[in-house]
Amino acid sequence: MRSPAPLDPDLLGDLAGIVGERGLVSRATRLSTYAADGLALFERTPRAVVLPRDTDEASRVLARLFAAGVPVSARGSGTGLTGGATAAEGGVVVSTARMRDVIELSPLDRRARVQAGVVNVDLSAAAFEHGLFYAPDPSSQQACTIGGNVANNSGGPHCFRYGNTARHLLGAVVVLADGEVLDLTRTTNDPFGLDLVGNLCGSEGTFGLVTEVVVNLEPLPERVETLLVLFRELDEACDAVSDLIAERLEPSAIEILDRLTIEAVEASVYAAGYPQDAGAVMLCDVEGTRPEVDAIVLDLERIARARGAFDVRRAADADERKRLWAGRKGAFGAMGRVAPDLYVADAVVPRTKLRELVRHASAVCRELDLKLANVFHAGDGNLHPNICYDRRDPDEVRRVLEAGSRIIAACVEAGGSLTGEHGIGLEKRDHMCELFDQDTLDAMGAVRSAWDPERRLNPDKLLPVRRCSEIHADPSTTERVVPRA
Amino acid sequence: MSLTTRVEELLGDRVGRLTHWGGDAVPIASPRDEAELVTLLRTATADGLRVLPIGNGTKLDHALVPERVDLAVSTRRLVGITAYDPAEGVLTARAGTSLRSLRETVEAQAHHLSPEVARGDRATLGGAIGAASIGADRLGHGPLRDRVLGVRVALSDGRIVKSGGALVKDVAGYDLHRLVCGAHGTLGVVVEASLRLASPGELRVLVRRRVASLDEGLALCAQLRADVAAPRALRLDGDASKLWLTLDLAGRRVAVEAAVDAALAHLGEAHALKGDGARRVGDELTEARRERGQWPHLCVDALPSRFEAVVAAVLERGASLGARFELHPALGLGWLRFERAPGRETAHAIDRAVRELGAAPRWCGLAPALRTELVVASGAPAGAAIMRRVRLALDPTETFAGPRLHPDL
Repeated sequence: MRSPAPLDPDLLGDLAGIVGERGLVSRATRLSTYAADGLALFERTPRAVVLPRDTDEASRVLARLFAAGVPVSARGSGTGLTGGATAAEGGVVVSTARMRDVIELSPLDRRARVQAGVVNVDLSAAAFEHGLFYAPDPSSQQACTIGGNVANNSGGPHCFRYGNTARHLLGAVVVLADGEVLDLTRTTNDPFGLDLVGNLCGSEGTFGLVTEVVVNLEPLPERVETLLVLFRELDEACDAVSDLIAERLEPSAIEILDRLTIEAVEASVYAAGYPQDAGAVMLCDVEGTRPEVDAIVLDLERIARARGAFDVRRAADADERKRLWAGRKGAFGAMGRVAPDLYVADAVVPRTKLRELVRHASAVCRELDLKLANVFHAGDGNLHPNICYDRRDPDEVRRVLEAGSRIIAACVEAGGSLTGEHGIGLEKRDHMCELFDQDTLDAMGAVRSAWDPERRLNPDKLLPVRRCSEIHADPSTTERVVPRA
Repeated sequence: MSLTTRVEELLGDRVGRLTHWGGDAVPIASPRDEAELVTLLRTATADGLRVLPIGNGTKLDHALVPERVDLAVSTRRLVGITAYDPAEGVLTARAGTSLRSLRETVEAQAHHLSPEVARGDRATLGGAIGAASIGADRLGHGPLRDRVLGVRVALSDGRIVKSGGALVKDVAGYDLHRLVCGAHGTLGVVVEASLRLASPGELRVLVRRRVASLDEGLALCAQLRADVAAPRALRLDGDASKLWLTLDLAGRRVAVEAAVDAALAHLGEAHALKGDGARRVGDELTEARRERGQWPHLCVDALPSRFEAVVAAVLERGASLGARFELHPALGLGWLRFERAPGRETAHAIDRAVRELGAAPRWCGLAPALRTELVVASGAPAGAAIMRRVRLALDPTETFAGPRLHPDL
């Protein structure tokens, strides 16, 4: 990996003057830590990493970098999976990792105001003592930040019932590229003027650096039951989910794990007690009052058995619930036992087409001689085909990317989308032309310029840098999107 | 050639007249399809006209009166459901389709379409999105902006762009549909939209009780909000002398029955309406927001913790006006209709008092000049410069009539 040119010493000095020596990373050995996010295929070492402690520091940092003409990429905990937090060419990373305060939590209004670097699970922990919780729960919730969740409009298993981050976001404080601070928080239900907060959510750090976030909190349900439904075949589990949706049954989460994932989890520290004779398991949470939960569980069991489920187990207690979910959320980590690297794809399909697209992903990986594990948010139609590989093998990397592209193309062709919760980042930038026409991408580009007229923020992410006609004529990835191998 | 003649050349006899705000009648063009709409927009833009997108015009007063309108473009003929697979739980329809017809279609397949708004027979899907309509069922089903999964929008230059799609989960690209929702047609003409549908539940019950005073009603609502899980609505309707509390419940039969028991523990004696009775009264309450063709004068939007103080402040400043309410304390939203429209000073006093409590006053049905004055008094919204740039990014010729949201936008 090429080392970037160091920043001008005067600029470094100014940045250190704002955030202190501990808030500035400029030594090459430490900078390499920030070269990639959770998608190791794309790396670029930033020229520096700046870690402001609050909005004021962030504003001064961005103003100084703007004056120096240095592009900026925002980063939370670096758990993103699309290369969205990697530095731009000649760029600096601004991290929110030192912004970790829960500023205000109002039980009566069921809302919280936090700094962007607060870790997702810490917010729910803070809310818990008031009988509340924060609903979006990405698998990385032990590490990912609320600011990162806003940038990617993150989801998680329980977004089946509660929706992605956008549904919970009530306001944000944003630092624009030139350092201007925009306070988009409100003490009302609805925005005054255009819904800039809704537009900001999911903009992947291309509109501004989010430093504070106001979110709504949900009341803890009276009762939660966790069910583990066992199937011989993955197809059966997919069909059962489609039936659950068709019958308007609404558990709060519906997840599917296939055999390879089960084996990996059970062989890891996340071992949850998933039976290894199952071809697939469906993990569901059902919430509500006791009689309500009982009624839903009965219906769920009926539908699942009609599709071939051979056992339906209820978690006996809170510990078992916790264990079952730890297995699900640790599945990506557990895959480390299967291969050194994991490509976590993220695509969405209509919920009536789950089986068809999961089969297609398997066929593609079989054809390209790749090992595929499926663990996904089935209730939302949000697939996560996880392809095992070794990044030191260039040919395998090529095949992984080809598989990813073909799976995404099939999902889009079936009426689906490129991403349900990870975002576009670098990884899917050129795939945007498969989902949107040039007129739409131009309109999106115009809106982006309204926020960041000089394109200083994450300039190479989310929107294609070439016209779609050029990309269609030459679908090979652009120079910037060539992954390292 | 006059504008009317040109529009008539394009659309034949499908041209009406908009006289809602008085003054000269404005031609209303109602294109039959997207191709006609695009032609119309391109022509209007080329001619430097100011275009006001409307549905059936039921919510024209929900925003400021534009300075100049040369042509209203109605989507009322762009009707029909373009995609609805009941097994998927998503509906896509053209913008001019009435909410009532959509509602009836999905109810036949055991789905619920939110928002429930007054004049559902006339209110169009596109109009509801443009106005970000607040439904009577918002407590249970959330704001409309959270139910809109995607839109297709015609821009002033005739391009049709899309945002989102027809999937319950999709984060690809910028969410332009979030901008369009509540933009009152200042960014483009919504031609089609996809909504996430909800389950209507097995049973719907309305628990109703007269309350002796606003204080008692608000106190009961606070108790019910804490103890009754996920109601569809919780509201107070009436005036100081005759006030009704309504708890609207829907869901699994066992859950609703348990919730009714919990509610009765707080309310004591109350009516419980089920099935058709619940539906009829629920619909009447929804329709009541628009009374004798008029929308309420004031909508207040506050944190639930400040709502009581906000309502008290309004009633104190408007004591001489006589007010009827529709209050949703659990949301912090309320509508007040004054028997006598407030004069300039009173309106300003009420407006100021609401804002001092961190809440937002939204006026309707006042003289346009006074309404604009009150919006100006609120100051420009945070991010006004970006809003302005967003608007120019999507409508560089400023073809779409403004201002609708704020004089600065």
